[in-house]
Amino acid sequence: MMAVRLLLARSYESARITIILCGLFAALGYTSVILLDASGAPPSSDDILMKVTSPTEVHGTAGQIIRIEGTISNVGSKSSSNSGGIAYISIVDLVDKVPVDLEDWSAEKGLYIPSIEPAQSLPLEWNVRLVKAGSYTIDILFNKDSDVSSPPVSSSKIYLEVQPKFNLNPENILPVAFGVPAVLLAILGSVNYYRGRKTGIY
Amino acid sequence: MPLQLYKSEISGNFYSLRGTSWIVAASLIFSLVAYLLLTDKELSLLDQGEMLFTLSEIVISLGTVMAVTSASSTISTEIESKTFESLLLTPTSSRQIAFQKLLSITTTWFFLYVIAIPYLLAVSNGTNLSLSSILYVGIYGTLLVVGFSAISIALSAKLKSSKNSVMVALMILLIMLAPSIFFATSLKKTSFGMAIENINPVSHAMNSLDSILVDNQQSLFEQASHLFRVTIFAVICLAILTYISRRFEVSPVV
Amino acid sequence: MKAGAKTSLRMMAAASRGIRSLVTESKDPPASKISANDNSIITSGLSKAYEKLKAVDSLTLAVDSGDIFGFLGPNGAGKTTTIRMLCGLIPPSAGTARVAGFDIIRESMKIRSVIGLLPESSGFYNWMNAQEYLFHFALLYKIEPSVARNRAMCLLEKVGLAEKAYVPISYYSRGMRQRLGLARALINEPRIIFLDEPTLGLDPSGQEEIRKFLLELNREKGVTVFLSSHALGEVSSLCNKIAIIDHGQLVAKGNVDELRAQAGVSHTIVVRVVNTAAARLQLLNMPSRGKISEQGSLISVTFSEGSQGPSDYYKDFEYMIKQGLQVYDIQRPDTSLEEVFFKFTRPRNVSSDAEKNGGVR
Repeated sequence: MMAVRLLLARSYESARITIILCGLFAALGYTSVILLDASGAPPSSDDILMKVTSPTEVHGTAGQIIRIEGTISNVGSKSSSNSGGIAYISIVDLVDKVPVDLEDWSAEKGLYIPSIEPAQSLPLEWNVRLVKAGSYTIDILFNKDSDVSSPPVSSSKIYLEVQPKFNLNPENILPVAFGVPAVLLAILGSVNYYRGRKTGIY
Repeated sequence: MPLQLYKSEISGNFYSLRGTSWIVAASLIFSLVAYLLLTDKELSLLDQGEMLFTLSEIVISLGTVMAVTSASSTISTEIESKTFESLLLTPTSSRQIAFQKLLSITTTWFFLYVIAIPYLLAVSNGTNLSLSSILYVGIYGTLLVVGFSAISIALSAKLKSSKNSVMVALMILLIMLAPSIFFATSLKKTSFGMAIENINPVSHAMNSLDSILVDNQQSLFEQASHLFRVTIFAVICLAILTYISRRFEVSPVV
Repeated sequence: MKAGAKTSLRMMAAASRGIRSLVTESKDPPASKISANDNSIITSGLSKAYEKLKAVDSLTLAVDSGDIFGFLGPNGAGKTTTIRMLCGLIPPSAGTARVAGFDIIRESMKIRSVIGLLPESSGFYNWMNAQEYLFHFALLYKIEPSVARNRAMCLLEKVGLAEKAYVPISYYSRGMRQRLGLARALINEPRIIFLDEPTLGLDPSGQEEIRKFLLELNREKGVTVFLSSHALGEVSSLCNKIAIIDHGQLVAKGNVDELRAQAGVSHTIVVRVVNTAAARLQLLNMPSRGKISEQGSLISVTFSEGSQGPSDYYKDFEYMIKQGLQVYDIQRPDTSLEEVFFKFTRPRNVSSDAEKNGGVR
């Protein structure tokens, strides 16, 4: 009986010590977190959310200009001065299986965001000229200034289908392209024929 | 008849297959380029100024190639076909012969330029660049044609061999065209590239057209320094021809 | 002091100009003083050298107004170079020459107005027809268009091309081109005409027509003809004066008889008589010995003209007649100019000439 009481007492004592120790650790951890928060640590990648607000399936014709819209939100709760970065779009050609050089597609390839506060949501917008017919995917990406190791934050994909543009006579070039050589041939042919008649060749 | 030789040269160009085929070929090239520029899926999405610049480059390049090829063989062909002796026997001085031939080649360029005008108008349709493109292509084309033709005629008279004079003249033209065609943008920005661009009349003409048609700097004042340099080139070439043409001789016979 | 130096320089320059104009005036009379009938050619020490090669070496000759002057020489002797210098096409290296009274160096443009040249090989603008071609050159000679048109047609008729006047030259034969070249050489009504092988490529009737045409030009219009040709028969029949050039140097000049005398080549006369035994015996006893040869039914007796001329063999003629020989015929074959030519010109070794000339062209 004494042994059981002793054992129970010792167990009770161990548990109490354990609980006290856990509490101490928790307090320590919480304090650390608070301290770290207070020193300006950036929100984690999980705090930034990229959303596409324009249609995710787009159909267009070569030459057309479409608008890609999205939002970038800071869903974290901690404010930070290091929350800026570059938002940009990336287009991949599904037919040739290569990323597309955006030189002719878009003038504003990257948008710099100096900072985004917690719970803040900023609109993003790109005008994209459809240069070449084909099938593409478009992603909106955000590359944080401070976070060099993590991959960029990506939105969901936009599927883009571009139809070729057929214009056989743009700016009325056909009359000129055919007409000028035809007129020239007619004039020069007449001159040579007249001369041939005069010299007795024809 | 003060310009009898000039008239005869022009007639020869249009009464012979050589002259007419050249003009027709040039118009077909312009047709093809203009059509491609405006209808091709990707090219048609170039800025219209850039399209116009491309066509202007082609017009001037074709004109100068035509001029150099004709001019560099004009006297040597006459020497080789033995018609030069009869010409030298007339009371037409060597200088008059040279300059009337130069005038005939410049006239052929003028015809080429007139043929190119409808294409320039079509490609510049809807922009404010029509008049500028026609004006500046005419000015730069004429200056370059006059300059290159003058130097080529001088070569033709000196070398007395069509094969050699055409080769040398085309080489000179190629060297002048090289910075525009062969030099990468990075090389153009080096001190070597910039030095070459500074003295090269073709580079000045092309850079000027670029700034007029692509960057919309259309006033003469803005292009004055380019115009001046190209004009100096033409004047120097004319001076060389004036010197070389003080006396022409036929090939020696013993 | 600077102003003084400048003034002195100006005075010196003016003085030298004055002296120069005096010297020039005394040597070369102004064009207006030259007679319009001066169709002469005078050269003095005329030379042309191409680096080490002397194409023409100190050529001195005189062609009077109205002469038909033959200019002979082997290939590469310097004939064409001489003609080109006289036409003002190439400058001489040394010496002087005056053509129609004009200096070939200082007044070459004036010479061009009064001369015509038919080169040995001449090119044409093949896209033109004959009428256009002559009209073009007439205009280059600053002839009025209406006059030019008429003159072109007249010349085409004279050279026998009137029917083909409107056919492109590219269709012309060699002979037709030669005729057209002659017409072109005459389009400006020259006072002196230089002809280099004018009958080359022509058929015999064409050659005869050209010869008559040249004689007509010379007799009726006083045109001086400077003729270079390898057709020695043509030269000897047309020319009243001949010069022979070899290796760039003048080796002989004069009329045909003078050249023969210089070359030591004499005239011959051939008498043919009927061949009989009596005739053979009598001929052996002739006063002077002509060369006797039997030719079948005839005997030829060839007499060379000696220094006394025909009187050398008059005695032989008298003897033959007195002896009753049956004279079949008497011939006086022209001693061909060929013999004279060969006497004066050295035989050419083609390979050694090429080495000497350094493979010229």
